Amino acid sequence: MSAPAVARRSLALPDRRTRIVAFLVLAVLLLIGVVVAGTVAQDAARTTHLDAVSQGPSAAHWFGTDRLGRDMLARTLVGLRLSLVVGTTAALASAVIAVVLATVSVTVGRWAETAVNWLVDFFLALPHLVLLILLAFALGGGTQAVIIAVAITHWPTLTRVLQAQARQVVASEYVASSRALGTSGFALARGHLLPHLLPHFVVGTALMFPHAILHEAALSFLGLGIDPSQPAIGILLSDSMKVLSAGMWWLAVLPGVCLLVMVKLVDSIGENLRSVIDPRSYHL
Amino acid sequence: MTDTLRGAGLWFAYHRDWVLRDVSIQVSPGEIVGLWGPSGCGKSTLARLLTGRLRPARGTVSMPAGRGRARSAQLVLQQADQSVNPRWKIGRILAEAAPDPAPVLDSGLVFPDWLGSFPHELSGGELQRVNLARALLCRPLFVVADEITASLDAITQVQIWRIILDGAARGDYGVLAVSHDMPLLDAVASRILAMEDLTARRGVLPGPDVRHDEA
Repeated sequence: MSAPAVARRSLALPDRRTRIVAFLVLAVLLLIGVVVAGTVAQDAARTTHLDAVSQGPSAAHWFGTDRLGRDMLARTLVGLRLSLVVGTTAALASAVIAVVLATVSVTVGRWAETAVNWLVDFFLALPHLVLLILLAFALGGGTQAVIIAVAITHWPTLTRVLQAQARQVVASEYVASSRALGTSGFALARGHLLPHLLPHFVVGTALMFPHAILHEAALSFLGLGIDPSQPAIGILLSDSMKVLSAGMWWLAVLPGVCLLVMVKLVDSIGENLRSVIDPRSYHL
Repeated sequence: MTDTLRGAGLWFAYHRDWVLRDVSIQVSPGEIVGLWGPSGCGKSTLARLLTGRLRPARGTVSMPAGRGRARSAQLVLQQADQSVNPRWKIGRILAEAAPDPAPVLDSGLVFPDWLGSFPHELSGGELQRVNLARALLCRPLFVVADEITASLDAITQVQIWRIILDGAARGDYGVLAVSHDMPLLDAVASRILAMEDLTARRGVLPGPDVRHDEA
């Protein structure tokens, strides 16, 4: 390539795909930063400063302090880290359930498809939050219970999407050819079906993530989720309610906004990932 | 177990319209049979029934036992691009039929440098060769070729049919060549069947046979 061509190329704006990939890398780095900061801030989040109780945002404490003088920035970071951990685990578990059910429904037989459809309809018909609360309560609360409850309630829509994709593959001529060559059902699922579902699985997980985070916060806010001694965002918000009328707005607003920003960030990661992996957008 | 490929008294309907009414057909080992008929007369449906891709509503298909896990009658379709997984390289596509692609490389049907390519990197004719090669690699007793060269240029057509006929001449397999192209069938087949002659209950067909005029 000649020198002027190189120069012209570097001056031009990067194309859409490059911009999206750059955004994805930055966003993921930011999330990793939150996890690292949340880990580093563990001690600071628990240290009480009785000489600086219930103070508003300042240079020393950017997010202010609570009634025990604990630094709210540190508590928010720890809370966000916890949300990320819970969100990742729950969304992944949920997406795995969806892939398994979608694969079974198209490979095993007519009755399996009917059973999976019935199950999806059943879970979609139940009010989401009620089911979540019941499950979290039945499982005895705590981080584990929140993860399980969110995982159990979030797979139906993704199952639908994956089922549609899987049906398309199973009905294709190349799967028919493969069957005629004597390929077993298991080999068909592994060789033809699962690789085709993988991009939808990744995007589905990323898009389920914000739901999982918000539901974790909701459950913790209601006292059914994470142990109250842990600084989860839902617990921070719940605690702040008691003193909101005293004018301590920073206890609710700053952690709340941080949660919102993170949810939006993860959501846009999912959306952008989808436009890179699967340009023919689908509804989830 | 029979050694001929046979369909007897086959009925088949898509939704509520009968496409095949009491159709019978037989291909002997090593024989090259042409199946001719205008478009929409049910040739492809019959080809699918004979290779086990569709089940007849009534009637029976009998296929000899295969040499391995694969069915002994292999269908090759005109749409080569839909017949292969677009995410698989050619080498993997062929490996699904047999671990060693040597026979199709030796016969010149497939070239070694294609093995590392993806289907979209090959031309239509090249991909059809791969599609056919996969069917031949599992050593079938019958090859049902449904319009396999209909969208290819004359030279590729000749090349592909020469390879198929070489194998049939060696006695490797019988061929059912499905086409609307009578000159082609004349050139390759030892016996040509017209779709309409296979249907026993012609009286059941509604009204005058319009498709007859089209042909």
